[in-house]
Amino acid sequence: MFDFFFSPWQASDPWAGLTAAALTAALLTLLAYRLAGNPERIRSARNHILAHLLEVRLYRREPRTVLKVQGLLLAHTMRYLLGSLPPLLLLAGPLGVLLVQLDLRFSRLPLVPGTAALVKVRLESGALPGSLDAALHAGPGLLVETPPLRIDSEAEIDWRIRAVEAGIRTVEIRIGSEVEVKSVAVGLSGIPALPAERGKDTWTNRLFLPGESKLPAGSRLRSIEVVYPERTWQVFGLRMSWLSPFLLLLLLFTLLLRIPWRIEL
Amino acid sequence: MLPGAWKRSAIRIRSSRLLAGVSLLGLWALGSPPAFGYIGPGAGFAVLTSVFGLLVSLLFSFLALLAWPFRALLLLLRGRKAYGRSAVQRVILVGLDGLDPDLAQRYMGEGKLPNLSRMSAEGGFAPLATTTPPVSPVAWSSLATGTEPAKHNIFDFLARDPKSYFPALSSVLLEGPEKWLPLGRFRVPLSRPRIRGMRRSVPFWKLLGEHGIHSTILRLPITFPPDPFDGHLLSGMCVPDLQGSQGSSFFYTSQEGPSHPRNGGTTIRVTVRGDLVETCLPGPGNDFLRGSPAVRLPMKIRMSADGSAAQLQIGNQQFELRTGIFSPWIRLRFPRPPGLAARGMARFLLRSRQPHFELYVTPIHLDPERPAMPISVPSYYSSCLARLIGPFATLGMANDTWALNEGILSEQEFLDQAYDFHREWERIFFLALDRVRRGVVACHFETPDAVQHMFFRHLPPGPAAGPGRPEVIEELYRRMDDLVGRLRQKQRPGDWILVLSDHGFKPFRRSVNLNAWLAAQGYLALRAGGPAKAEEWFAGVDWPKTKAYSLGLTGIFLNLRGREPMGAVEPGGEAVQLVREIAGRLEGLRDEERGGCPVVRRAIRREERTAGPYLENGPELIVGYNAGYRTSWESAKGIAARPILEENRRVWSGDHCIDPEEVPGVFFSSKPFDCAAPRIWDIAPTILQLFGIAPPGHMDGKPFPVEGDASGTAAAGAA
Repeated sequence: MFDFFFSPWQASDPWAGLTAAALTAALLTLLAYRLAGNPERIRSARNHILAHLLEVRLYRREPRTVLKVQGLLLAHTMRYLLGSLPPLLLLAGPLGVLLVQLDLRFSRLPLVPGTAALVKVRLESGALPGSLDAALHAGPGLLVETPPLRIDSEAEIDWRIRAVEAGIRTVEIRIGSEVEVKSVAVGLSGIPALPAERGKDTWTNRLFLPGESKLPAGSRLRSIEVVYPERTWQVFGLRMSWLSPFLLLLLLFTLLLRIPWRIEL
Repeated sequence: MLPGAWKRSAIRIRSSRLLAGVSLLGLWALGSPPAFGYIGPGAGFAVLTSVFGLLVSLLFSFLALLAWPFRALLLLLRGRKAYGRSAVQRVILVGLDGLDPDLAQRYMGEGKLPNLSRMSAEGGFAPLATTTPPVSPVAWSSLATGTEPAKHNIFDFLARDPKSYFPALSSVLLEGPEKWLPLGRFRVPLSRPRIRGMRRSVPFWKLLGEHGIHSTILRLPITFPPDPFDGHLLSGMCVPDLQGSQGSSFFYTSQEGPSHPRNGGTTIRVTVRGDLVETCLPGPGNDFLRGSPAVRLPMKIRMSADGSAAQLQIGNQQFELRTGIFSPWIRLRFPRPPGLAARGMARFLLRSRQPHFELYVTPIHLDPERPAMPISVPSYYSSCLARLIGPFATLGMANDTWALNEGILSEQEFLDQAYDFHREWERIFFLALDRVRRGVVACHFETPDAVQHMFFRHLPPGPAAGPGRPEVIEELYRRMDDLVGRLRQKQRPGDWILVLSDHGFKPFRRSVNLNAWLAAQGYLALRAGGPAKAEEWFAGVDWPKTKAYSLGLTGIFLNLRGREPMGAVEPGGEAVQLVREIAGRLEGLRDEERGGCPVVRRAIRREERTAGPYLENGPELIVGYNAGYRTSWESAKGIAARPILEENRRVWSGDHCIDPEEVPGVFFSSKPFDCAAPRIWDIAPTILQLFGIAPPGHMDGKPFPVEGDASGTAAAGAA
């Protein structure tokens, strides 16, 4: 579904995809407020919050009044939060799923042919990497550059690989008799889904680590991770993660769209 | 007309607020953690917004705590200096416009006003001498400035432009932009519109502010446009409606006849098709179009089958109206290209469906949350109040007396509206009382004036034009007493409460057309070939042959050579002689239909009034009528139509535009005071003195000692 959603923006600048996602999130937000919001309560609480903020300035010479007004300000902020709770709960699920999917696409860059990356295998607690037979076999388009680095204190084994040829590549990891596979994206353009980590089949991993099949329940491996380069976004000359521009766009769209739709936020 | 620059400045303010808000949120977002911490949108947009409020409040609290010792020290030092010589913590002034001392004493004697009686016993009560003439804008200006009219320049509701003989509002000058750039049917203003207050001298709250003493002035008359000072102010009497008038209501009716302007508003004819009425609500003029045509909001009223209710669709909003019940305030947005909108609010009253459809709409008040022109100090004060207590009436004279006078509202509908407004203003007043711990809180209530104007005929032995309702005035006084009772419950040690009115009331039984009298006496000449019947604003007057004319409710002006464009009277000896002659004749005017009763008690000449720099702007003569008489509405508008004296059959049946000695106001004090005959212009210097500030020498009023005032002797009892 999300691949279909982002397919129109695969060929264009990543900002187009991020903007589309922010617009979708804004629509979801407004929909949640329309369905579950209490506009009267929200408007009243918001009016009081603004008024009390103004009062702090109006009565700055009256310390007792200012303290009283600050108390009222906190009380109405709580009222506002309570008034926003139903749409918030309604929104939490869909927006959470959307954000995980956005992180999958907007937080990392695929490996560029010629560059190196780490592959990290984390073992279940109690396992000692030094006592295990571990090997990594790179598929076509990848090279393994180092022998395994065993870190007993972290229950982790690392390898460095180098990307050679563009495409969805794989590495095969053998720990003792167990063999698992992890995909590695090399040289892909647009905003492909980049599952960095493959984890066990738990409900949190299903929610937060989408994109690849999960490790079997009895596996000695806790996760396999490919450390992709971070994708940074430039806003007014500042480099930042995708979340900041996304938030800004989401706020902007929500504020703009609430006016014609008359939705209290 | 709503000047465009006020709108533009309002929009600029809103845009800058939005920009500031977005910038703050942007800063928050820039500092947000990387993507793997799914806080923020993951927790929902709502949290972000409310967290903003929470963060700001916490930030304020934190900063306040950090700065607390320094602020406390600073406040202590400043407060010591400002309030060091102060005999009171707070002065609470309640202005009950038109509360009459005779009626108050009568009801107190009957035990109907327990709170005012208690105040009178504990502190004191006295009639309060009022201004010449005893008209609200004049008297309240004297209260504010401690001066008589010759120093504050307000002589009536209306002033006249001597260059054109035309009237103008005495208190404020509204001028549109002077230059325009024409672009076909459009035009662009090249200069700003101007709003100028015409009251001169310095109000006491400004003087207090200069000494570090804070005042909250609520709806005191002649405070528009609001003049910046160190305190809070909400403008009162003379704040216009969105159309720029002093209150133009709308009456939609299906009764036969053309649409026409009427006193105090417009009557609009509509056609009922089935259960639907389609019409529009005229708003402010669109200054960007030539001729400034009114912006109109389309309105649809769809009535229920039984006529007990209707769906009102106005613009893109929908409301339900119940027959006979006022709607709450409905916010209105009048779009004015390019991209600007004028915001106002009105209340709707569906009066009937059969035999005629009748819908009343109040004048379009400025929305206090987003006023189209400034109505408060600081500018955001009105917005703050509206957000805390909800929308409230902002029009200077909000009670629509004309609608009752013209039979558009019933007595009960008028009262419902008046007391609704009154409750809104009470909420503002009590909120200020709750917040302000030191300084002055002053609030003006126009309700007693409006109700007495319209219901005085019911008081015995009045002629009672309608079914007798003598209880209305009594109920009014009881309500005001109740207000005082609730105020006394909020009283703190160190408070001085004073309840006062600007004038009293007397019945208005006989109306006098002063211009017709001047014409009959040969002082005002009408053109032979002029209009067939007398018209407004001196349309048929032969100015070169006219020596004197009357404009407004009490004044007679000479047509002076060199001052008026077609003056016929030489200044100096001739003018002085003429004024004496007119005054003598006026004082001899008798009402033959009433057994030769003298109509005028005194005709007050300039030299009999206190001098001041603006004395020349006032009328040469102020007519002090005997109780029962008043200048006719026609004469006030420059119509010289006979008869000179006639019965007043209007609902407007009580008045105060007579000899000031006939209509003093009331003065109740919570503390004993030492003054046998206080005057309204003594209040400002008394307040200044209580705060340890010497009243400036230009004030005409004299401070009187109040208990606790170290500068004067503690009063042993009331006057």
